[in-house]
Amino acid sequence: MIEISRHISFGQYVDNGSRLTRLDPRAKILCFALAVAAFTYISQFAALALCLFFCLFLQWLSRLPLRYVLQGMRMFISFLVILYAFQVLFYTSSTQATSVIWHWGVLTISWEGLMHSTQVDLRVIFLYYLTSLLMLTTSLVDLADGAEALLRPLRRLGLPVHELVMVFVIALKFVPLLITEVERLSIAQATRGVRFGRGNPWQRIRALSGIIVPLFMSGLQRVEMLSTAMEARCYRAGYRGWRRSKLHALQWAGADSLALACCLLLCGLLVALNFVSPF
Amino acid sequence: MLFEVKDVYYTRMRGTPFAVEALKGCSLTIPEGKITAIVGPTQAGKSTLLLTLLGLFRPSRGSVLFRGQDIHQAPFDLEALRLRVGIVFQSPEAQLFEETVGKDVSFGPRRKKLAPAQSRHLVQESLEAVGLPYEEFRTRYTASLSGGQKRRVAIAGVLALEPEAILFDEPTAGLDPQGRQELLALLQRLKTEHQLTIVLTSSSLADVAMLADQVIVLHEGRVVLSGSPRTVLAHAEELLALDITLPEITQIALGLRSLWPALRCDVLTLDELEEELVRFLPHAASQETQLSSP
Repeated sequence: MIEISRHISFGQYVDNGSRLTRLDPRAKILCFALAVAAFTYISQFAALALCLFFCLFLQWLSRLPLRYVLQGMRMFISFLVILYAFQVLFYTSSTQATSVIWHWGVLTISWEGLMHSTQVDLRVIFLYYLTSLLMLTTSLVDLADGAEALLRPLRRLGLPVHELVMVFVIALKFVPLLITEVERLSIAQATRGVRFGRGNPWQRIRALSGIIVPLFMSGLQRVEMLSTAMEARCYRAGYRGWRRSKLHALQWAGADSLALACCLLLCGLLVALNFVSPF
Repeated sequence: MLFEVKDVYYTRMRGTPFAVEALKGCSLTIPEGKITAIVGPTQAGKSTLLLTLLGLFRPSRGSVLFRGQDIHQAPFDLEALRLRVGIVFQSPEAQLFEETVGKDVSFGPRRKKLAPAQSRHLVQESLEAVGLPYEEFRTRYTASLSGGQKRRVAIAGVLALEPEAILFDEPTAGLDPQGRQELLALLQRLKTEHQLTIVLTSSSLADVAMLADQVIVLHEGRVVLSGSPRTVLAHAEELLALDITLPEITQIALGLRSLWPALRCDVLTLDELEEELVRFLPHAASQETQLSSP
C-alpha cells in the first residue's frame, strides 16, 4: 500500500532512449490504432499466438524490464479473472449447440464458453499491454502533438481537435498522479494508526473508504492548480487566424515508415491467419 | 536508545526503471528524550530514513531496532509503534486529509477508540499546545488555513496521539524567519514540557545548531559525521562541500580564517565568536575597555 506506484505502471513514461521511445508519435499512434483494430478483429488462437509474438517483439524493442511491465498488469489481471468467471458461468450461444461440462441452476460451464471467454480475455490483455506500452514509451507532450497532428483534418468539420486531445491526454496522465496521491494519503493515515491490507475484506474496504473522499478533494484542487497555471502562462488553445507554434516540430523519418509498414504487414497476416487457421 | 539503525539499505521504487538507492549502509542511534537533527543535502536519504524508522519502508538489508527490538521481527507490533512515534511531513498538505481542523486532529484519538470526552480534551490540549485556540479553529476548514497554520494543525494531529517521540521532516522549510523561530521554539517546548524525543531533518545547520543535542550528517545514504553540534561544526569546510547551510556565526568565523587560519569555527553565538577573536587580537580587549570606561 505504501509504495503502490511501484506496482502500477499504467500511464508512466520511461525515457530510456529505446527505438520505441524515439519513433515519431504519429507513427506510434497509427501503428497502435492499426494493431488495436486487428487484435479486436481476430477470433482464432493461431492469430492470438502471432499477437503474442508481436508483443514479445515490442517488449524487446522497448528495453523495459519485463517484470516491471508485468507487475503493472497484476491488478488488472486479477480484475480480469473475476470477469472471466462470470463470462464462463453465464455463457449462452445462440448459433451453435453447446457441449455442457457442468450445470447447476442458471450456471453452466460449456466447452464453447471456456474457449470463447479465453479468447476474449487474451485479446483484452493484449490490448491493455499495447495501451500501457504506448504510454510507457511516449511522453505527454508527444502523445498530444501526435494525436493532434493526425486529427487535424477533422478541424475542417469544426471539431475543436486541440482541446479534445488536450483533455484526453490530461485525463490519461492524471492516473499516475492519482496513484501518488493515494500513496500520500495512505502514508498519512498509516502514521495515525490506520491498518491497510489487514483484517477481513470488509475491514479492508472500510480502511480504503477513508481515502476516497480526500482523493477527490485533492484531485479537484490539482485540477484547479493546473488550470490556474495554464492561464498564468497565457495558454490559448487557438482561435481564428492564430496557430500555436511548437518547440519540437514532429519529423517523420525512415524508421517511422518502416514501423508503419511492419504494422500493416502484421495486420494483413493476422487477418489472413484468422481466415485460414482451423482453430 | 530509542532507535538503533544498523547498516540499513533501501532502494526506492525497486524493480522499476525509476529505482533510486536511497540508503546505502546507514547506521545511527537516536537517544531518548533528546533532540536529534539529521542534516544533509537534498537526495541524502533523510525522508526515506524517517519513513524507515516507522517501518513504512522495509529495508532490503540491515535492521531497525526500537528499544532494542527489531521492528520487522514477528512479535513486534508496527501499528503500535506508529501510534507511539508520530511523524510530521515536510509539506503539511501531505498530512491533512479531513475537512475540518477538529476532525483532522481527532482522527488519531478516534482511531484509538477513546471516549468522546477524552478525545475532545486531547484535541483541545493539542491544538492549544501548538498555539491555536480550540474554539476558534475547531470548525475551520483545513483548506482555508495558511501554510504555517496547516503545519501547526498537522503537529497537533500527531500530538493528539500522545506519542513518545515525534519525527519532523524539514519542519522549517518554506516558513518565513518569524514562523521558523516560532516553530523551533515550539519544538524546544515540546521537548521540555512533554518530555518528547524529537528527531528532525534539515538541509541547513543554521536552524538546528542551537536546538539540537545531537547532529547526524547524512550524505548519499550514509552517515558521514555525527556528534554534538559543536563537534560537527568543527568540520565546517566539509559541511560546506556537502552543500549544507552553516549558521551565520560559523560562516563569519570561516571567513575570518583567511586572516587567522587557527581560528576555531565551532562557535554558536556572537559572544563565543567575540571571545575567540579576542584571543587573536590581544589589544582589542583593552581597546574595548577603554571605549566603555568613560
